[in-house]
Amino acid sequence: MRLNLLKTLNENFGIKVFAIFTLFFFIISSCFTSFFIHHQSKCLKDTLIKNGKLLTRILAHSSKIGVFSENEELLKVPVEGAFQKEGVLEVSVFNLEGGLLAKQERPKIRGPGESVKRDKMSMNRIFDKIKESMSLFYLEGNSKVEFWSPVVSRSGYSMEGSLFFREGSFQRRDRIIGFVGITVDKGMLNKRLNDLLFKSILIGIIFLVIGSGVTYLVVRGITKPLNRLTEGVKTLGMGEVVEKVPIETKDEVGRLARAFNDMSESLNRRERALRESEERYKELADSIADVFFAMDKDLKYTYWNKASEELIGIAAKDAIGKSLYEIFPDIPETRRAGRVYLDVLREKKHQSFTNEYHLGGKDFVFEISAYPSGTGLSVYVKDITKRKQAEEELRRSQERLRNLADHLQSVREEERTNIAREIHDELGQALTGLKMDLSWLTKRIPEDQKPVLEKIREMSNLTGTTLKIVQRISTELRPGLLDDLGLVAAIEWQAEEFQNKTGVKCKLTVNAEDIVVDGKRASALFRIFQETLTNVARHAQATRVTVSLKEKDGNLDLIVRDNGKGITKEQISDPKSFGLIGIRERVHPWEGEVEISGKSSKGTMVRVRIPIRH
Amino acid sequence: MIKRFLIIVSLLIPFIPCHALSEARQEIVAVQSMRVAPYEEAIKGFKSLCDATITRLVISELKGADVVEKIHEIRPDLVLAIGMGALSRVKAIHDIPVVYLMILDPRSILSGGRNITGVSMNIPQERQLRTLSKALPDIKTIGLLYDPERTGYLAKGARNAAREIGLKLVANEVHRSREVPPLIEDMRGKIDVFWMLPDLTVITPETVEFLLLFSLENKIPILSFSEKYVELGALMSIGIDTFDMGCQAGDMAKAILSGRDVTNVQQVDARKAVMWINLKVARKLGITIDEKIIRKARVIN
Repeated sequence: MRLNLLKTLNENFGIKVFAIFTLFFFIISSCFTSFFIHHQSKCLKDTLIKNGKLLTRILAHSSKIGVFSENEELLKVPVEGAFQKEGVLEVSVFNLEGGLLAKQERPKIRGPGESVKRDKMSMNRIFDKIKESMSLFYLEGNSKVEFWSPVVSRSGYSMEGSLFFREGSFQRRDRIIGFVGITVDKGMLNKRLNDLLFKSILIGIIFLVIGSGVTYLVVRGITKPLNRLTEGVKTLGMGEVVEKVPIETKDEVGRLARAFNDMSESLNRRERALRESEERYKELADSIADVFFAMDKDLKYTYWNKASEELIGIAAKDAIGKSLYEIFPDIPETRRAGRVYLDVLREKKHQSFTNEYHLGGKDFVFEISAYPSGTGLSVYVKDITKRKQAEEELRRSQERLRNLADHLQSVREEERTNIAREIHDELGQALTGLKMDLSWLTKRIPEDQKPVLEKIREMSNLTGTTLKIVQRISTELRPGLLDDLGLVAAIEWQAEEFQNKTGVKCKLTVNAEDIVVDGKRASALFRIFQETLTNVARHAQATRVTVSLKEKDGNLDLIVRDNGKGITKEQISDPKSFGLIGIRERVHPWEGEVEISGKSSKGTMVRVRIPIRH
Repeated sequence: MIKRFLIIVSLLIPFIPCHALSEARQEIVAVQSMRVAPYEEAIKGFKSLCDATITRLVISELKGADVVEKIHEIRPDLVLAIGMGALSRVKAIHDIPVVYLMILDPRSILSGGRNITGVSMNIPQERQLRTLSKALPDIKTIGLLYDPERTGYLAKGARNAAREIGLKLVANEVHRSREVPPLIEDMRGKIDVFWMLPDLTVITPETVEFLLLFSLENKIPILSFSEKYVELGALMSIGIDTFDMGCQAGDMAKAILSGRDVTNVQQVDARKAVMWINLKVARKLGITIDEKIIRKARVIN
């Protein structure tokens, strides 16, 4: 209960202000009433004392002649006059010797604690005190106040002269001729004080009630517009449109209301703009054919685009607010996606991965990209099923092409070998036979047949030359060394041929006398070597070439370096560099490696590695 | 011419014999009990007629010094005693003439001193009653109170004067002041006017107050001896003129200083009476006073 009250006080400004002001009014009323009562009490007491003194002085003065003559008749009027005064309980007049001359009293005079009459001794003490002081004094009791005064007579004229002339001309001396006493009831004072206290408290309560009422109205006047503003702010907070708050005053509250209206309008504008922007983004996100959704930090969906609805078959309203595992089954793919999402949330770094799903009886391959956002993450899911299929198709196609190329290469090499062999064997032998025939003719033709002899000799020379050409062509088509003596001999022969033909010094290093390698690999490597040297001759402008052929770890390494101008990166990746493409394609069937690098003015290096066996 | 005369006189002054100067200005010692205005007025009157050097001795200022010794030291030609207090002191001097004034009844303290004379404050009762009769012609009975020890002689004079004029006098004796109120109350309805005598037993502040209230309540006018009571509420007073009394004493002193024997200078009463009338009181008491009388009187209006 108490906590509730404190909570209400803390949470309600109006009640707080009302309570403070009411307390303030209560304190002010109490202080004022206390002060007023205290002051009035003092004033009333002072007035009582003052009036008592005055009455006693008047009695002393008016009873002077009566006391002087000790005449009761003369004292009757002043004593009765004093006794008529409200609150007077007793009036008594004494002569100088203490003898009672006149007295009037009310029955109420003696209070419970003051029932004992003044005895002779106490009266004498009072009279002695008056004689000593020559002045009035009062004794205050619980329920009454006694005032005592001397009855003073100007001294009789001591000299005859003083009888004749005005006072002041002669020394005069006062003397006491008797005493008067008046007892005043303090009950009247207390009654008045009680009346006053009651009235003061009543006024205080009325003041408190009026003050509280005024405070309530004032506080209500302040809190009402504030409450309206609060309601407006709440409505704004809920994202609803707020009507303008009426501006009733020009004070701070009015200015606050105006500021609120401005702010509300501004917020509405911004919200409209935001909503429009959101609509645009939503439209944009819905317009894309790929799945796009957003998640919060608990991996609950906060956005779900149309493509998601269509692909996954769950409407946005059903998806939003649900977690990953409520939408997707708890399968390894889902768990993997969840792990990646948590990584992205944790590391604030984009991640992409590919996941395969079986949805609606179909297999899908999705490329999923998760991006960290301010509220969680945004996930873009691209259906790459067709792409993957195309890639597979392409890969297969490439494979077929490679196989075809390989086959063509083999066929070509075989064809070249056959052609070389046919040229060498058939054409060579025919030409050799022809040359032998011409030689035979030379011997048979007389000496005098010089022109014929000359012609035959020329024919014999031509035949010899043609035979050499045939041999060359045959060798170039398919070096016989490669098949007969092996790869190393063929390489050595080709290097020497290159040096002889181009004049470029060619140094060959082979770490083994004999490298046993199957014909296809030897053929491929040799052709690569030939192509490399052809490139050096055509493009490198080199003066020296070093060739290294090594067998290491089951691989055959061929390294060709020149000191030419060096191949550029553009040249290396140029799709029109058919020579280089051919080199790569030649090693591909054996999963070999080709490394080509160049440095400007430093030369080019081609490194080919082919596993010797599978 | 005057200038030359003054120069000659101033040159001759050192050669004038001292005794010749002392002879020219006789010395008077004026003794008074205190400095009060009526005494000063009387001294003014005295000085107006007596051209003697006056040395003032105020008893209240002598701080206990013996006045008589002082006077003997001064050795004046005459002593002027102003008031009863002064006369009671200087009556011990027998070798210097004494003139008194401002004294009501010198006989009460003088026992036949031959060097003493003066002016008493007493105004003859018959004169007073005649003046009263003129002012209030309708009065028949006059009441008065007196202490036989103090003003018996005045009561006696009043009784004689009333008989002489044909008025009835109700005179009651008073021995203590507190007897005054009941005695006055007894006179209610019996008197037409109350005659206040300068009696220290009868006249006290309380009795005066009672008397004045009695006068107003019973419309009985009061004849007093001093304007002081007229101011307080008495209808009229017939009193002395202090300046004139000083003049009277000055005449006496002048005669004595001029060589006349003191015993040949008669003690006299005040020769001039001053009448005061309070017209406000007269109106309250319903009394109309003749204009001729009012013109002769000093009026409080």
